[in-house]
Amino acid sequence: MGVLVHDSEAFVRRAAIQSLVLFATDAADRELDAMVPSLRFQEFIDDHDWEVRRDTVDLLRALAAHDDYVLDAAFLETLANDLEVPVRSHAVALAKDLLQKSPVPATIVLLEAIVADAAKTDSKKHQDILGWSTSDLFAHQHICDDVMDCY
Amino acid sequence: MLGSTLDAIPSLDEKDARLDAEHVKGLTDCLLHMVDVNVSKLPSRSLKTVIVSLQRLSVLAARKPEIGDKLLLLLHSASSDADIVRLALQTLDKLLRNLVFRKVCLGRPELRETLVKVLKRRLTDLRWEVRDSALELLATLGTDADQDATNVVQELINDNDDEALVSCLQDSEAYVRASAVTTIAAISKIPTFRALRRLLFDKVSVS
Repeated sequence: MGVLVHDSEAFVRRAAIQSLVLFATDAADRELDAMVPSLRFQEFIDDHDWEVRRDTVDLLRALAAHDDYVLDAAFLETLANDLEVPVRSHAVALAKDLLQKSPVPATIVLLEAIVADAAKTDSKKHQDILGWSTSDLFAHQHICDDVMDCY
Repeated sequence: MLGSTLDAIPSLDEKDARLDAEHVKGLTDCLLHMVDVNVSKLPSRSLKTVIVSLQRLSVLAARKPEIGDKLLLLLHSASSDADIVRLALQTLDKLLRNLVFRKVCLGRPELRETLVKVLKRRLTDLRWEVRDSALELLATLGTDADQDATNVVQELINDNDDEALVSCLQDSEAYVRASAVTTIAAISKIPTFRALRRLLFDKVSVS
């Protein structure tokens, strides 16, 4: 029997990842932080089951709330361009959190992906999915530009 | 007569406007009596009908804590029918989500003791459906656990030394593995059992 995050059944992998989300969101519990690097995130992100990928975004989101956790920009970019809408919309929620925290380069990468994606898909449905109005997008683009100027 | 009465029960629903409180009280009393008197005489199919009806009427049935006694009695006794054990565990699970029912039921030491014995036995049952339902009941106890629920989990873990739970994490049936993860995560929210997180993390993610 392998470890449960890599179980043969997707619903077991999801339960395992959700339990990690629970631990990561507990502000009083930082004991497990040191063990996080042992998680093979790339395998979660490449999972064929979109619900596993969506839950992985939730795990990254919970971890991103920790001051000392640095998200891999490549993970964010991949998830923001996922084929499945729920994965992308959770990735957007993660981006919003990161913007609140600090406009780190990883967030810019993600926002650029989102803005580019929204620009090529001008339907209202797409904007509803993202949960951002056009003005929000422009506002965030503006933030991106401002921050980019600093680098 | 009994058969036709039981056949009519599954069509009842507590949201049905035709069922007023008096009807439900009468029905629940009737069901309790049947479980009490006829548990050994009823055919399996009829007993399942009774338990399903209790589950269906759980919101109203939760006002009668003695149902907990009857279900635990049923679960404590040897039964070869996996469906009956599974349904009884699921019904008790549903009833224990009612905090008043839980308080009255688990407030009694003798019932807590019986529940621990039942869980201990059913977590290692040969049938995966039963193990799965026992885990779900345990997860319910771990969610918003009051002192009585904490005592049940404490007694279970003390008696078992985590073995039954760890074994469920490595179960051959995937549903049991998933339920075990969810259950241990729920229990580990109780400060007393925070150490279970380390155990779960190891089983969940360490190669």
